[in-house]
Amino acid sequence: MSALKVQTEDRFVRAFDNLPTDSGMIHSLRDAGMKSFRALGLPTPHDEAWRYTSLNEMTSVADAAVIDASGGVVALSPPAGIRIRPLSQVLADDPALASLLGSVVACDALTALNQAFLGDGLWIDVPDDFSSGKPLVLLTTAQGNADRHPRIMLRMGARSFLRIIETQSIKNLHQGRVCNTVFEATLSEGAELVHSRMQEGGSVGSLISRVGIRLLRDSKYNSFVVTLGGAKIREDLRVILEGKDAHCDLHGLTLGFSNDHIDHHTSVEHCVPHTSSKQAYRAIVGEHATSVYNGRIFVEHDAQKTDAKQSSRNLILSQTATANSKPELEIYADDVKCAHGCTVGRLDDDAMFYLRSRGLSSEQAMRMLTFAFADEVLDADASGRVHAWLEQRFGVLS
Amino acid sequence: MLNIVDLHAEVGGKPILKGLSLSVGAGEVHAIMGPNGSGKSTLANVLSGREGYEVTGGSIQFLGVDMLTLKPEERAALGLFLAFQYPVEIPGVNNTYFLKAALNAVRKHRGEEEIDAVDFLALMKAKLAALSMNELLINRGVNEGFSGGEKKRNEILQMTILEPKLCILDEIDSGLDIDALRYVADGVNMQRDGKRSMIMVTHYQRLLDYIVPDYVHVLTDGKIVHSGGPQLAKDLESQGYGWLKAEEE
Repeated sequence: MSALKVQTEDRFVRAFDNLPTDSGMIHSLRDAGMKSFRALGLPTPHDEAWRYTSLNEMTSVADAAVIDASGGVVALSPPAGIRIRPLSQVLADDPALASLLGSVVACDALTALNQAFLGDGLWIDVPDDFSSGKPLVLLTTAQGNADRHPRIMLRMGARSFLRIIETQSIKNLHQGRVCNTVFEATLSEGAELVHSRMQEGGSVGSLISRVGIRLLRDSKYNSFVVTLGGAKIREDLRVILEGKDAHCDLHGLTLGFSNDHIDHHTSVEHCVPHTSSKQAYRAIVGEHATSVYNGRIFVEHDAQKTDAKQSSRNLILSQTATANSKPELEIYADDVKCAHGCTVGRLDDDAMFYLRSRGLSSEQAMRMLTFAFADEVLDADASGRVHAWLEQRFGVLS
Repeated sequence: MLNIVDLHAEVGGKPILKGLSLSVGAGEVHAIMGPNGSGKSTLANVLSGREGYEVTGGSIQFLGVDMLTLKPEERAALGLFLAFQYPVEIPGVNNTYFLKAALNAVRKHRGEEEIDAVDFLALMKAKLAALSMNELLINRGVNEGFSGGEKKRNEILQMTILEPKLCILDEIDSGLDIDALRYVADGVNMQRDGKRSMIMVTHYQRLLDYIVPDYVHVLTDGKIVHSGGPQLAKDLESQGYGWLKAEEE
């Protein structure tokens, strides 16, 4: 264990000791979280799952973490009919519900850290048969010289339908600070969740996002995550397909420039027969940026007739940019369909010349071809918001 | 319009053009014929400024400007247009959007105002009708899923919209059946207005029945070895290139 690592953990431990004492459920959850955080220790590049992504940035400050207890996540004008309550209130009213926390996301040091500093997250209940054309907009922000550990718990009733549009922005976070979010959802029979996330980091600070989704029979999860730059962004998306005919569609688009580092890990776990999944991740990296895609597909022994697809395509715009792509297939059933493909390449010279020969500058041509590459996955954005969001930042795309 | 003097060019260190000279006046149509490997496509690529084609000697003046110092987009802005032998498919770049961006890039260079979306669509509809092209094609990605004939017609469509001063048609007839060839040739002929110049690079005399050139040149081993009127193409068709070599020696 390196000295730096001790120091980082130490800053969290000291911050923990400074938390106001509280009795009740939150307090014992936090205690348990800190205990497991101390036992696990922050991951280092020696851990396979963190091979490409170092958390050294978090070691660059030694002072104790200042915790913003507001939770850092707000719901904007939610559609009528769904119930959104502060996490602390839900746990105070019904301490037994605490056992649901952490039941879906992977339990590692960062999840434990989130639990240790559990502030006021959101607890969202969607009733059976609920449906609305209006999306639920969630805004997660972290800024200044403080860590944040937002937490969201979502329970969707049978046959309900919800669209979530989530923005995670840490643009003004200070050096060494982290926004460490955990989002967990359980989808009951026949429920459908469309989940769009727009992530944006700054030149310093880390954004850590954990998403865990549990799918019961006939439920559907459609995820679209677009990550637009950031010194350190890491998302772990875990989907557990637990009911027959459950399906998930996971799309990702990474755009990294300057010294951005963007890491997407997925874990799609097929636990019962007749479930299906699709993953399509695209990364565009230029200048000195690095992207990571690690896509795990896990198929249990008796999860026959699983249909799992995965594709990762990466576009490298400069000599100094890096794209890492790694499929990880663990298949224990024998009657399954599993397809995966990965490409890493540069812009096509012939296409560049074609556009330039018509009068477009090389910069214009490059931009056009870059967005053409993204277009394929942008088409899959069910929220329709991602395109507009990118246009806001890059001008008209097409 | 265009003045090429003693042009030498290499591809991958191999000399291809070995002292080519050619002068094209305003409104003239020149056909360049020659056997495989004589340097026809290299000439088209050198003129349009493609990377990988290294000019090792000679000069190219276009409208009085030294063209060799210009980037491909600057040549286009100045009024040069290359109709590709194999137009590239670019999925994800919408045809209409691409053409509007190209036209505006060229207009900007000419000091004209950018065209707005409404005027552009009206312009394009008119041009599509004139070329009897299917309107649906142009909502696709550039050349995406186009047949050979559709790709070539798309080249002509681009030409009619960008209104270049000099067009280079690189084997515009390759891969076309007789009907498609007629459509493409009609499109090109519509562009002959007495001011616009053209250089047609082709293997076959067939094309010259549809687009009748003012001059025919024979390119052999990187040099123009013979020039003449339209009759020269017919002689080549019946006698091949052999007699020219014999004559030269």
